[in-house]
Amino acid sequence: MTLASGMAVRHAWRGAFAAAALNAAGMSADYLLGRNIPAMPIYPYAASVLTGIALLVFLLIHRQRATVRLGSTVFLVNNVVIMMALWITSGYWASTGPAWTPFQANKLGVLAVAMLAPELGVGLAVIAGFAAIALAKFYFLDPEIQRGFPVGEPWLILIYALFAGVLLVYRVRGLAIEREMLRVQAEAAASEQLARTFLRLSDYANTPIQTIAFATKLLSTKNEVELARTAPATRSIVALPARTLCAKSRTAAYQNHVTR
Amino acid sequence: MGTTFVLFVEDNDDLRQTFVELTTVVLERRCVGVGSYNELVALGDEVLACDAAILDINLGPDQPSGIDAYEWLRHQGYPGRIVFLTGHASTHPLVIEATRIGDAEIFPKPIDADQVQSVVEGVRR
Repeated sequence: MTLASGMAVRHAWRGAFAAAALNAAGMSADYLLGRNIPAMPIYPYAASVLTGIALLVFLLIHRQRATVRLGSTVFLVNNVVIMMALWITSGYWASTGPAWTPFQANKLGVLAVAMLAPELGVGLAVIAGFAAIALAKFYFLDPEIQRGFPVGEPWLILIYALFAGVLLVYRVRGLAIEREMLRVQAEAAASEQLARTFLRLSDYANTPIQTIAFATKLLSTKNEVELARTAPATRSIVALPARTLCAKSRTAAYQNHVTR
Repeated sequence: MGTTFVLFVEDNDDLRQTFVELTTVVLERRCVGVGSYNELVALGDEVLACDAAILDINLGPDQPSGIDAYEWLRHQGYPGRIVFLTGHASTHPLVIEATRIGDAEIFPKPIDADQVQSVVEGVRR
C-alpha cells in the first residue's frame, strides 16, 4: 500500500468511525429530548444507536484490513439507518406544534456528511437522501401540521443540501490534492535516494580507478613491452574523467530537480 | 632524483603506495605518503619542507578530512602549493567546503601522471 492510498484508507476509516459515533451519541440525545412526546416510539432510536455501536465495533475489528470501500459501505449503512429512524421520529416531533423547528436533524446530518463522507459519490447520495426524506416526510404529514410549518419550510433543507454538496466537493478535492502531494513527495524522496546512491557508487569507484591509472603508468614506464599491453587500459582511464564528470553533473542536476 | 619532495595524504593504502612509487620512479621526486590526519600531525615539521601537498579530501568516515589537514599545514606556516584530490561529486559537502578555500586547487579522481607532474612542478595545465 502506498502512502497516498494509505492516507485515503485512513480518511475513509476515520470518517466512517466518526459518523457511527455521532449516530450513537446524537440519536441517544435526541431520544432523551423527545422521550416525553406522546407515543414517541423508542425502537427507531434504539435501532439507530445499536447500529452505530455495532458499526464502531466492526470498524475497530477491521481497522488493520480497512479499505476505502469498507469505510464508504459502513458510512452508507450508518446513514441509511439514521434516515429510517428520522423518517419515523420526525412525524412525532412535527406533532408537537409550531415550537418545533422542522427537520433540524436532517439539516445537521447533511452538514456532517460534508465533513465526514469517505467518497464524493457516497457523500452526495447521502446528502440527497437526507433532503429527500425531509421533503417526502412533509407530504406525509397531516395537512394541519403542514400549514403550521414556518415560512420557507421544508424547502430550506435544499439550501442546506446545496451548501453541504459544495463543501463536500471542496473537501474531497482538497484531500485528493493532499494525497497527490504526498505521492509526489514520496517519489521525489525515492528519486533523491537513488541519485545519492549513484553518486556514492561513483565516488567509491574513483579511488580504485585512480590506483589502476597510476599502476598502469608505472608498468608502462618500467617496461617497454608493457607499454603496448597497457595502452587500452590507459586509453580507457584517460576517457574516464569526462564520462564521470558528465554522469556526475547529470546526477547532481537530477538531484537538484527532484529536491527543488 | 630531485632534492625536493611531495606530500601525499590519502587513506587508501593501495593508492598511496602506488602514488609514492609513481612519483619516485617516474617523476623522480621524493614522496612522503601519509594515511591520516593524525599521522600527518605526528610527522610534524618534517612535512613542512615539501614543495607540494596533495590531499585527499575524504580521509575516511568519522576521521578528520583533507580540509583539516590543509588547515593544519597552513597553521604551521606551510607556504607551498596545496592540491585537493577527490573522488566525490561537486555536490558533496566536503568538496563544497574545499572549493571555498581560495588558495587550493581541486582535482577530481582519476587524474593522470601528467597532471601529477604539473602539480609537482608547479605548472598549471
